[in-house]
Amino acid sequence: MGKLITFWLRQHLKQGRILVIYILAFVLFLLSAFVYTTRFQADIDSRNAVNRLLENTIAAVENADQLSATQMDILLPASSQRFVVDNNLDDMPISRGTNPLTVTLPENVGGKRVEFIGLWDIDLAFLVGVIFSFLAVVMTFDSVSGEKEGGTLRLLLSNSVPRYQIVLSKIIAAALTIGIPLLVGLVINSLFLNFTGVIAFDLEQAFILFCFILLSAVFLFFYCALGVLISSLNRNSITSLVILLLLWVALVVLVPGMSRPIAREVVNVKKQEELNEEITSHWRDFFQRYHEVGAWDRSYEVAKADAFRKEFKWGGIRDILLNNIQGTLDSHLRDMYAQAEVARSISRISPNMVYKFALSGIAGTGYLTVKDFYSQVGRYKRTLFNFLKNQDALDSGSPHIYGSQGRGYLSRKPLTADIPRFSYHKASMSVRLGDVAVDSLILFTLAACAVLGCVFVFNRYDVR
Amino acid sequence: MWTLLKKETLENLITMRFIIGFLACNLVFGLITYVLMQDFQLELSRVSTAQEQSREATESWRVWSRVRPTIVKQPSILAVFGSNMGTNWGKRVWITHTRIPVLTTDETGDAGSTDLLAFLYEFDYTHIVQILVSLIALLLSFDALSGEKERGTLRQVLSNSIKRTTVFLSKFLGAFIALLIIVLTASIISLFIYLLHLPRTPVVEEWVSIVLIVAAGIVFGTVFIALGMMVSTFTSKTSSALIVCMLVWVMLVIVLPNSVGFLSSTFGFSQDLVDYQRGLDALDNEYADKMQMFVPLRDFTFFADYYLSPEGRIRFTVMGDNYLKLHLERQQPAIDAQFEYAVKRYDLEKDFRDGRAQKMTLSNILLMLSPSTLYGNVVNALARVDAANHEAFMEQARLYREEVISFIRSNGGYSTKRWFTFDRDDASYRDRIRELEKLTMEEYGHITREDPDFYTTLQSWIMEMYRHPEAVLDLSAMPKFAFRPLPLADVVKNTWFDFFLLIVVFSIVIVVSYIRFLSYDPR
Repeated sequence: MGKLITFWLRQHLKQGRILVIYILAFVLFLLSAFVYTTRFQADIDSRNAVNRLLENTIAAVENADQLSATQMDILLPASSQRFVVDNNLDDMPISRGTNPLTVTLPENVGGKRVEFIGLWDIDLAFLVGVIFSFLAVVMTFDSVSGEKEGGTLRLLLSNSVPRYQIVLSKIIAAALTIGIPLLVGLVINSLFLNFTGVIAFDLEQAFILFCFILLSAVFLFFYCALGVLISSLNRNSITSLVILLLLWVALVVLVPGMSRPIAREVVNVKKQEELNEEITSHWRDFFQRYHEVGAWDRSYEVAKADAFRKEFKWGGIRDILLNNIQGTLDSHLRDMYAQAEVARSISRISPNMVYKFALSGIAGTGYLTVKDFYSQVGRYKRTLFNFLKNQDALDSGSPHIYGSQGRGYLSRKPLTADIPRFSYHKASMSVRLGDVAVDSLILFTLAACAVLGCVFVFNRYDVR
Repeated sequence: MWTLLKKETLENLITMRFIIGFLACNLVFGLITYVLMQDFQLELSRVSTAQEQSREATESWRVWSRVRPTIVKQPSILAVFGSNMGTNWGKRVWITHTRIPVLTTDETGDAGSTDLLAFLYEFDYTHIVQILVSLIALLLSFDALSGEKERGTLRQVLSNSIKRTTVFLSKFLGAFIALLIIVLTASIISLFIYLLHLPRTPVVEEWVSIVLIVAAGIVFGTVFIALGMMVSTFTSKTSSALIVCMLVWVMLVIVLPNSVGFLSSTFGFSQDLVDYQRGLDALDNEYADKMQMFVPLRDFTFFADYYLSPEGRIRFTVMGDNYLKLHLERQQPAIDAQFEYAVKRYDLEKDFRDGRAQKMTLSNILLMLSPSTLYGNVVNALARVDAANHEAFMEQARLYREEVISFIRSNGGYSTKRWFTFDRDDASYRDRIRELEKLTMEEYGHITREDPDFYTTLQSWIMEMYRHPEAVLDLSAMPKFAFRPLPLADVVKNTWFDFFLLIVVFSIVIVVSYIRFLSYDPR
């Protein structure tokens, strides 16, 4: 078996074209590192700008009234792990408002990219998921049918080597052939990123890279096995290539692309106008209550004249309004999560996407991280709201009118405590690993199935 | 020649790869067109909602400072064939005297996308053509010569008294016809689905654009047939021809378009969004004081300004004469400052836009090597989703802004107090308000505060005044905006070079392979 592997490997490496492939791979890895160095810097810069703005705003706030009227946005902190898998973060809604008295959905900042021409981000997941899987297919499409056409297969089988060993050694050799540039490229890539200060080789980084290598190995094993499988199902190597390439296009482009529209069909997320209508109805409801409790006459001057005559009336109905709107938006967010989950489930037909989800879970750059970020900001927003209420309650002269957009009539007294700050907690590695357990399992199973399929089909292969 | 051509074509048509490619192409294109049409209809409904919203907003404008229509870019029905249907450019523009439109509202972050599914990439007609058609074209032609050589038939063919030119041409045309069949049937299927879901039938110009889009697809495929032929003449073995073809394909279709776009956006020789926003902040600070003058110039509505006084009287704030005078004095300098601000802001936004345009030009120059991007450029231009078309939209928006401004000016919007209040000089109106001020609860009809109808009656009374027909501005004469996508002549002018380059690439490749073939060793 070992001998067979080295034999195939040597045969692969002997070819001149392998050099071209290797050089291409190295160039791509360097390019990716270069792109992500500058991108990380740009990320940090934009985060810093936003944070400065936030700090200035908080510094300027003296009383609860101003805080209630302040729009504060928090951006998902920059992640150095985007070079592993990017997940289109620039187009994702990664900014969430924290103004305690307005309710907003997370938004994408600065519009979508228009100067961007390509289809994929040039991250490590792209290199392995698209380029290397393609190479795996090209490497293996004629592994069986080609040998048959060349007539060497009969010779090979006439030896007393078991068939399963031949097919396994073929898969392993192909995986090793493309594994070498992957490993070397990864070393180049991460050294570049290390020297430019994007990543530091701590334990977590090493573990992420280790997981990357492991998952990539399984993933490429799947594609190599798929190539050998299709190759042994067909008599003609050109036909097997055509089938393999179309399959590749389907797995790499079609399935991930289709999952989005299908998810839109399956899970109905409210349109913007429906959402607006619902929010308007909450406001209508609010005005109804507003008249019922007779709070309409409590403009600032009046309220000051007889403060606390109608305790918290404004505050009470304002809370109901905010809760209602928050409820609508929360349920909208839940629908969006459900839609995203469906889209993810459908994408899992393609091993490429399974691989990508597993990687992005571990690297902490994907959908799960964004979702976690939303909930953290949501929690912070509630903290801020409670803070506001407490500060307001301390002021006996406050009319307790929760207004927003500069029309607030809350406490005019200086804040007695520091405004709570937002701090982002990255999910711990064990949590992240738990999140990707299913995806990793699917990937392993797929690869195992492909290898078993290969062995099974090749055992019944007619050599003539 | 004809016999040879017939033989080559038929030989291509009966191969397994043709049949698989044919079926896959038709299936995929049908499916994609269906999905894209669903998305397109969603987009159309989004646009019409936005238009409806902006139309509804006009009904509540009572003072001229509120006349700030939002215009929406109506996508061309051809946008289905372009990248992201042109939605990445944004579609809303806010028409106000304080801003000269350069970027859309969606781009400046005023209304960002909330699409959580963005972690999956968007489906695209162009991308599928780029990937699928080029792949099939290469597979049809890569073994045109080496395959025959390996089988030994090439020698026989050449030993007849047929010219090499004829053999070469018939080989090329044979593959071309096979590709033509695939692309045409796939196009017809997707066109059929496209027309079935379209809200209206295309006009002549759009039909021409559709035909040109299909033609661009065929030319694009033909380039790859020529590439396959060239590789075939350079290699002696089918297997090595195949590997080279695949490498060329992955370079041209996957690697180049994906990496160069990134590189050009990475070489940030222009300012990025953060710098731009920093500049905007500085400008806003500079003008903060002058803009502050505008703050009291809001529309005075009764709704906001009535309350029950501690003595139990309904109080209405009626604008005092001094207050009015102060506002009128401030109005002109404030509006002048705002116009000035608009020009400065325009310069800032233009810098940002130009920087982005430079990046795009750079990546386009770097990408001229890749036929796949050339094709993408041609189709995006024809589908009216490219930068030029978007710039045309912004240009029209700027013109529309001028029209709106001159409309407001001709109605005296900027120079009269109607800019900030709809309070009328009508004596009887003022008397009525003064009368109201005198009223106490008891005097106001028989309604008391304990009466369940009290608030609703009061509300309706206030609203009646508020909704006085003269309170709402008559905007029926205001110019309307309707986006006119670039006419075909301009599109052709913008994109002929890309098309020309595509044909140049094709010619070079085919000539090289022809020359190689003349000295090709059939043994």
